[in-house]
Amino acid sequence: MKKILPALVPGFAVGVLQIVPMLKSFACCLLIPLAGFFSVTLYQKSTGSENKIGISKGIVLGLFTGIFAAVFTSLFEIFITLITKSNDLVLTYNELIQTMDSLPFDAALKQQVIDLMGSMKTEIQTTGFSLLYSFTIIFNNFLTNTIFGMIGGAIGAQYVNSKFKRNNHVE
Amino acid sequence: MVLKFKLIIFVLILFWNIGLFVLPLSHIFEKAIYAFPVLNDLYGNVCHQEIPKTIHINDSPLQVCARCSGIYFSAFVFSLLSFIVSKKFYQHRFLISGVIIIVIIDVMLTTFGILDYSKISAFATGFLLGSVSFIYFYNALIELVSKKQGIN
Repeated sequence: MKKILPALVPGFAVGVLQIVPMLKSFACCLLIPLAGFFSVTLYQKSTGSENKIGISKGIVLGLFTGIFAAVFTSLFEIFITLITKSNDLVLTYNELIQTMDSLPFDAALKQQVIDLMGSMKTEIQTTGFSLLYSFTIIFNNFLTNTIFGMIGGAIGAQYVNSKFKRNNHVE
Repeated sequence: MVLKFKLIIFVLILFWNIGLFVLPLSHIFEKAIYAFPVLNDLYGNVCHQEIPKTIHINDSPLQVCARCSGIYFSAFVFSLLSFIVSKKFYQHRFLISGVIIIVIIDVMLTTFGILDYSKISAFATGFLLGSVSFIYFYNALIELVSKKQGIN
């Protein structure tokens, strides 16, 4: 529980913040590593420790943060898509098609990719749910959030430890 | 063991960086376009992907904005440099805070329209942040691996 709670708070925060479009544009790729970073500082505060934190502990905290962030982000995204019948794919679909059209390759190949994206878009607009799209976002959220969370956790532990140069005891 | 770790990090960062070039690469390898829908969503998790803010190669945009491109490119450069550096990279506590402040200032100035968005400054600040973050991350991993080696 000591490791879960400091990871749950920033993980949930990321889940909420990632669905705010303007903030996503502002925070970009820093949101998840920052959450991992904060989970380490929260852990230090919650334990009241004055000692260095183990790097592996930082990585584990970052991993938990990433997992929580992935769960909440995926849940919120699927739920909001279900209600609004719109999401990033629907909103940027025309832009994506324009980008695809600008590429100089085989029209049949291009059409296959456009059809695939088009079927996902239609499903979302009619039912609010696309199995393929949901699977893609769950897989991608878990992949990126856990990796970036662990990076943030390791950086957080290294940063916290740099404050305790004289104290060599590692928890 | 340290060399193995360096190699794993380098390969992972290399693949991540190759993925950024899926659209420019599809000019050469047409089949690369099949990966586009998945990669577009994958990188969409970690970047806003606004087309005017991305670097274009052969008229095709990269998968992330100029700042993120700087971050990942610097991680690639430093993962290469890590093979030359035998021990840890130099790090200072205020280095990461300082760089984050520089990035925040750059983001604020362009977001509020005080300065025009420049891909060069975005890439440069991203490069700074990426290199410092990589140094912290790399040093943390080296510390971890060395500790494990000491125990085993």
